[in-house]
Amino acid sequence: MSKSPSVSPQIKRGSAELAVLAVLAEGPLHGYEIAKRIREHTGGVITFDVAALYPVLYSMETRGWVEASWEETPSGRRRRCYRLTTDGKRRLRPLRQEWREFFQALNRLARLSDA
Amino acid sequence: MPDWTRYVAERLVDSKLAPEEQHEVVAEIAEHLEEGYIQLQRDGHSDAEQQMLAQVSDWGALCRNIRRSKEDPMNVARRVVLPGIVAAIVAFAVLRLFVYLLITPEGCAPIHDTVLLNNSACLTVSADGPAYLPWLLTLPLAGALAATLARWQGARAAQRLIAAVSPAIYLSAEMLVMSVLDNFYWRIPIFWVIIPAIACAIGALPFLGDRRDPLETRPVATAHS
Repeated sequence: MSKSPSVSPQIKRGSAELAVLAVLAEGPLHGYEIAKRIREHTGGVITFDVAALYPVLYSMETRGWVEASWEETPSGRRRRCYRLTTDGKRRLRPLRQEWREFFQALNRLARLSDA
Repeated sequence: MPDWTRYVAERLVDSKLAPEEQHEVVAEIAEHLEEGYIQLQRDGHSDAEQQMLAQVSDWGALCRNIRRSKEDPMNVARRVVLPGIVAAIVAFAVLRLFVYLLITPEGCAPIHDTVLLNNSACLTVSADGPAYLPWLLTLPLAGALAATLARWQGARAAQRLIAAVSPAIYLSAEMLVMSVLDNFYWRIPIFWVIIPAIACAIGALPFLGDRRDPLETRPVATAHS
């Protein structure tokens, strides 16, 4: 919702799994809160609107990486809360490593081209 | 305050998701839009509604993406294949029963619109025979059973119909093999595939509709804190 610089949809799509799994590793969250945390943690560089977020969440649910359940807040609102499953945690570890290596490689490449 | 549930439900009405799934998706996305709207209003944004509406620029694409993301091979097995197998087992068991009760084994004769049901080459079941019509009359029950099981598993209307006509699909495979091994006779697919498929589909008809109106709202989904 903020007007911060944003990454292209292609990069965002590729990083969606990592972004969602990483914020869910902090604890169970509902869809709106997931999007909000991603936006806050990335300083508004990565944002997920409804159209981008829910297909990713449902796909992860189908693959068994997250599980969801309806929960009621004290104010009476019902929200679908997502939490990481064991498979999701197992998936997150190599995914983090994969992205770390990818960024290290990109950094090396950027330094070479700057030189 | 916009009625977000109605807004989302109207745009996801063609999602082709199972009714229960569609209801959940509508409630969840509406909740997301509503929460964002309330937050933006609290933050003093006068265009809160427009900002939330801009979250989805192409609802058709969102429908397709959600459907794709929810597709699980195991779901197809649960929703289509298993109910179809149950219907086929019931249909073939009933056919065997009628054959056992109504047909007397005779001398072998090469009758081509025939289904051989056991190892006795002399036991022939023809569409002209006494077992065919009673069996055909029971097929709507098999179709209804499959459609009910499929709907219970959350299948869409098209999936329920496919599950219901499964006995005819299995028969068509058998007919195909027979046509390859022997000559093709037009009566075979008509009497042993098309007509049984219609009978099964008739039984499934009452179970193809949705149980829940996608616009039906849960009271908590529209309540505001």
